[in-house]
Amino acid sequence: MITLTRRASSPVPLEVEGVVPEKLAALSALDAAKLPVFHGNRKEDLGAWFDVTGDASDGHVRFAGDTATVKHVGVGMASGKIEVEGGAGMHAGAGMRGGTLTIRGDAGDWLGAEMKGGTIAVFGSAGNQVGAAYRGSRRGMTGGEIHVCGSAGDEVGLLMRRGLIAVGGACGQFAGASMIAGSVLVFGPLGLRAGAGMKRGTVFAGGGVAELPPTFRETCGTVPTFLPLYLRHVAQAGVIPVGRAPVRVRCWRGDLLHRGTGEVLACDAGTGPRPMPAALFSTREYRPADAPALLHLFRSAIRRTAAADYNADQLRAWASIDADPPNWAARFENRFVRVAEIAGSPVGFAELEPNGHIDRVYVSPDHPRRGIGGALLDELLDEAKRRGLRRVWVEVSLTARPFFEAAGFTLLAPQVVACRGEQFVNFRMERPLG
Amino acid sequence: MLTVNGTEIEDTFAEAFPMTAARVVVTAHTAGWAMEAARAATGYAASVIGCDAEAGVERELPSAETPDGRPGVSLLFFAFSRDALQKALVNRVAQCVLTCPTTACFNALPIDPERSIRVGGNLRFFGDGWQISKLLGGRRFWRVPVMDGEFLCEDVFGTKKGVAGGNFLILAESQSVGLAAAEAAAAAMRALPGVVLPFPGGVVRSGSKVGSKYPKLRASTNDAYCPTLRGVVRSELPAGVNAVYELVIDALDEATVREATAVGVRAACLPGVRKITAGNYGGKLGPFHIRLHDVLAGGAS
Repeated sequence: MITLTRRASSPVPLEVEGVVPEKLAALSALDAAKLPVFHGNRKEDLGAWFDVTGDASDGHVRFAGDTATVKHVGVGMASGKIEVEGGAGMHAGAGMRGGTLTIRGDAGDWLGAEMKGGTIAVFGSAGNQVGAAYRGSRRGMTGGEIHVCGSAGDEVGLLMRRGLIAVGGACGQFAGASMIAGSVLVFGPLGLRAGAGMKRGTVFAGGGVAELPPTFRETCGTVPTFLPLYLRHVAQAGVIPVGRAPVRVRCWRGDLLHRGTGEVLACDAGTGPRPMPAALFSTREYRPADAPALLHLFRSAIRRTAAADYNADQLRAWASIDADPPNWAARFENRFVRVAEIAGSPVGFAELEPNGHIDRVYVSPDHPRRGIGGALLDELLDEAKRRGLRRVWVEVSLTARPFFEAAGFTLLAPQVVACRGEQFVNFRMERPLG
Repeated sequence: MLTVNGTEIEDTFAEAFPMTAARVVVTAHTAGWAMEAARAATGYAASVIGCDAEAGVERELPSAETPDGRPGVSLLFFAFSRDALQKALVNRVAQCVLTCPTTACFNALPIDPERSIRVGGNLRFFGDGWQISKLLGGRRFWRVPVMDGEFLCEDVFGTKKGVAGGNFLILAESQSVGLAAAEAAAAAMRALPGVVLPFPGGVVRSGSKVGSKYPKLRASTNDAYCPTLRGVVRSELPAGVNAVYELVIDALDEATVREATAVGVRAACLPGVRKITAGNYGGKLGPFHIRLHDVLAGGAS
């Protein structure tokens, strides 16, 4: 590994184009120090600004010291590895064809602009025009991957033709504008006019989308099967911590100024795949004073979590069951009821009847995919075993079926039930208790 | 004489032959739908004597082991050539997986460009121009719009040389004893990775010999092992044997066929099973000779 440690910082940018692993690999430290760099418009030796130690025969180059104004890091690199301990200036990784560029701090504008291959990992944030085409060019990045843990600026993926850009935080305006193909995944909020002028390709907005161009049409709510592959791929890159569970999105097709074969997929706020800070939950017995909070939880879970599977009239009828507080509180009598809470507030509840019927398992839509439902169900199953029951059974909604199936319940029969004038499809499922 | 639990193991060999194999993972919204697609896709795939491929369910996969985080099933397909395998897989995935609610289909073997077959790349045309290609980590996937969302299928599938036709026969005193032994053997072999038993339930009752008195038939009933023909043909059945079942094994390599044979034979040696033997064609059909005594070495009494 060769280490280039910047000796003194300067407000004038330093351009290190050509200082790439494949060129350094054949040079001694002494020869490497003679490579030309530009300090402003003055051509100088690399050694005038960096202490050069080690050699790059293993294809590994490390930049240390204050590198925030060092531009063109890794431009055009074809192989090997560049690691920047701090930040990097504009054009880092632009036009790179292979290898990996890792930036521990922030990156400036035009990160990976027009890159053709390789991988860029930025553990801070990035500026504008990530993976974009330079002004006047017809294509932005045509291959490779850019992972940015923090946020990114405007025009991310402008005119990109192929490849993957993943941004852990928010993104500015015009993400994926004029995209030809490829994928832009943004796990924070997505700025205005994403996808404007796109021909093909995918823009994913895990943190919701602000405003799309008027030439986009909303098509459906769906759980795309391809998306978990991308989430896992992003998680494995180790830059952005995301879960890989399937996520429900709303889908828009556009830009209809072209053929409408591009797409913007957006999660509703708070339902995206980026894990929230781990808030620990605990479980306890039901108390009569919980009833009002559980009614609120019950209704919000139906209106938000189940909204993907049932229409508005059905949701209204469902959420009205036993809605009168006295009736609602009475439902909990003579049952084994466990409540999950975070910081003293209920976030889930589950009930077991004496005959082995699991009546309700509900989790707050503000705390999805945290293991709350599974923990509550485990407690019901333990109690059922303790009581000597040989099986438990449940009638589950379309929404809850995968949850119970994953918990070892098997389908007995689908059925149609009527409730307040609405008909619902649900499933009778059971699980034997060994 | 070698015996296992009192059952005689004949000193003979099963004759297996090379076939081109593919491993396919089918996922779906629920494990039930994944299995529906799997059963359909591997149906009518018992023997290449009469089917376009031999196939079976290798194992069920939990969500954590599938590419898209949903429940899945791993399937193995075998055919005599890559071309034949591609044709069979494209047809089967098109008719039995693409059509099945919520499914997706993935390759699960390493891809050598010289030995790969195109599945999703052929099925994408069903999208009528609305199909979407995604290239991720060097693998291409096709997203084909369908009425419940999208069918996701990997573009190219890897293949490898597998071994098919491993077998052994259970010679039992009665049909019920023979069936119990065959079921036990099938269950034991299914637990091994890289193995499928392509026949219904993993058990064959209609073992065949090459040729027939009817010139157009390539294979016909193995009369030497039919108990009802004892006395009128040259029977191979010892006295007291009244039912015979065959277990046929297809696997990704010879070592797995050998291991499955050993596991299956041991499991089949139940009281009432008089003898275990194997089917071969004098060594003329296939290059892989699975000697029963060899595979049981160390585990027999």
